[in-house]
Amino acid sequence: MDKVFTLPKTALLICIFLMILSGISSICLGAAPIPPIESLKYLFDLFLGQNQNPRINEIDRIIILEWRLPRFVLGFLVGASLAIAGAGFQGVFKNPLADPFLLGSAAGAGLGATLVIVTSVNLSFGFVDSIQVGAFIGAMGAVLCAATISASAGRTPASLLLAGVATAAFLTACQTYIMQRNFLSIQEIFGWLIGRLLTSGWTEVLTLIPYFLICFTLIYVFSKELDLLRLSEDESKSLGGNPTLTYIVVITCSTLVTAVAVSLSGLIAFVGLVIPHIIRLTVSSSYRVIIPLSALGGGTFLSLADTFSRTIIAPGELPIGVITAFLGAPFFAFLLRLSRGAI
Amino acid sequence: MECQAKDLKVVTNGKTLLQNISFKIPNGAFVAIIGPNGAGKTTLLKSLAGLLTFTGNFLINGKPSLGLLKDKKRVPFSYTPQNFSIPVGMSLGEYVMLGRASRSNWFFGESQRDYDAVNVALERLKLLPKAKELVTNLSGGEMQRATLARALAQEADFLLLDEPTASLDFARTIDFLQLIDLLRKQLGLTVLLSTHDINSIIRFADYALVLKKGKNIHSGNLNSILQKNFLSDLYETKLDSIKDKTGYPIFYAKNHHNQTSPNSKEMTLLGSTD
Repeated sequence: MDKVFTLPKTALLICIFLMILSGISSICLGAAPIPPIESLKYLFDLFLGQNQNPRINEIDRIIILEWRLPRFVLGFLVGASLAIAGAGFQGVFKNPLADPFLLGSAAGAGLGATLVIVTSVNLSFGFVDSIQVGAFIGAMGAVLCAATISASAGRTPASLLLAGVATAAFLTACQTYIMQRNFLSIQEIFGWLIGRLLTSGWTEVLTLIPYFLICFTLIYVFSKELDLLRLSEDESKSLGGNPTLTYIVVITCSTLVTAVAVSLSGLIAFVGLVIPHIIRLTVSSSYRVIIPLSALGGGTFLSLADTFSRTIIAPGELPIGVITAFLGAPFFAFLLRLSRGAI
Repeated sequence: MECQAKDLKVVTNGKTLLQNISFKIPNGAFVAIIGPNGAGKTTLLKSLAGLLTFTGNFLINGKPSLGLLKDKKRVPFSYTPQNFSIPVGMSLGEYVMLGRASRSNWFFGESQRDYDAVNVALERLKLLPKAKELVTNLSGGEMQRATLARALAQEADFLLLDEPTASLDFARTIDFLQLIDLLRKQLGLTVLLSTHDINSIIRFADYALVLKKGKNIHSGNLNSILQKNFLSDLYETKLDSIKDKTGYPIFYAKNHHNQTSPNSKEMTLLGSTD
């Protein structure tokens, strides 16, 4: 019998190739008039340890190294975070509609950010600005609230899902009320809600990296358990699985990484829902393949979408959520048509 | 391996599901667990598999069993529920490999030893050519064999099967029970199988555990319970029996007017002759 549950080399190579392509396009393209070839050469020289290119001046250098490169890395990490969180939620809830915003985290983050914007309260913490702190607190608060309601209703995946839906509905209503009362801030709030990847350098990247690495490792370690959960709970247990521990670890990690990611990028929908399904439909339905390839695929997809969002109407910038849905939805619809009941 | 239960009791949410369960099963036995709906057959199998906690003693070769959950490295039991899942998008090879989950490395995955065990299990059940097929595309009989392949891949000493033939037609039921019997003899397994299909199981099983309302009312040789009065009391309905060509009794329910329906008798006879 052929090897099962292993990362198919072709799919891995395609993902890595696309990741490099998205990195190059993200760094070479943009509103600033730097010739793409020169940017590429500069990066290549830098890679080889040479920092001298007469055609790249100090401003260009800052644009490439302090703006485009961290933006690519941040976009990649946010996309990867949302995609692994989506895959994790789909695994534990056995629900193809599950996404990183399932347990009310998006609504909580939205309310937190809205409150910070309208009250102008100063919550900045080290390098992290007030809106990010507000969004993080809101997201974690919403998930804790959903988990508490669910615990009183028997702590099943279905009760947690329904508690998340109820929490999200309530928090969204609160947020809408606050926006109605503070219409002067609506533009700023919407800008955050639709999502953006504006960075102030490497700070955001360094904030997200430890959370991403820890959560990715833990979710990957539990991917074998997620495969067992595709059976019934009794079967999973009888084969040596530990469903309860899997629920706790995967839900906690997925929520944490989502909360940190959206606090930095705003609410970017679609990536967490669709990328795991694309891997599932085109490569494998095993979570041991879906988790790592979703990280690569989600990161690549979001950084490509970001490049589109800031070049298509340059020097203006489209909200990235518009691009992810605009590019992703038709492609996903096409795959869904081919799937014939495989989801 | 010989196993022995002494006064097992299972209480869930304040409700006693099983009590006074005592039996002794010799090594390599084929045990039929029978009893009416709600008698506790599934609860007993789940308890032995370590999925439900019980009080009392359960000994394997004279030593207390820790149950599956506390003793993952040595998996004495393989349990297959009646309503097993058929995961969408999973190949048969992946499905059977899940039987190795408790043994394979948690980070680096499966070893050659795991693949060998899966190959042997698929080969034994004549499913190797279908290893790449999706489990959702298998027929009912093939899927039932796939669960058996997964159980064999676990390399357990005891097979616990909860009504495995409930969804199979008559011919597939006999084939499946024959296959289990063959594997039991070849591999030295002890099989505990719950069923309502007494007419089929009596051709293969040699030992019976009879449950009623959560209590063990008989444990011992299967032949000793094959009496219409005993089974009539067990199922609380009038049963009658005839013998087929090979000498096995065929039990059938009398109708409510206490008369044998000629049609139902004829149908039972037709369906039972192999």
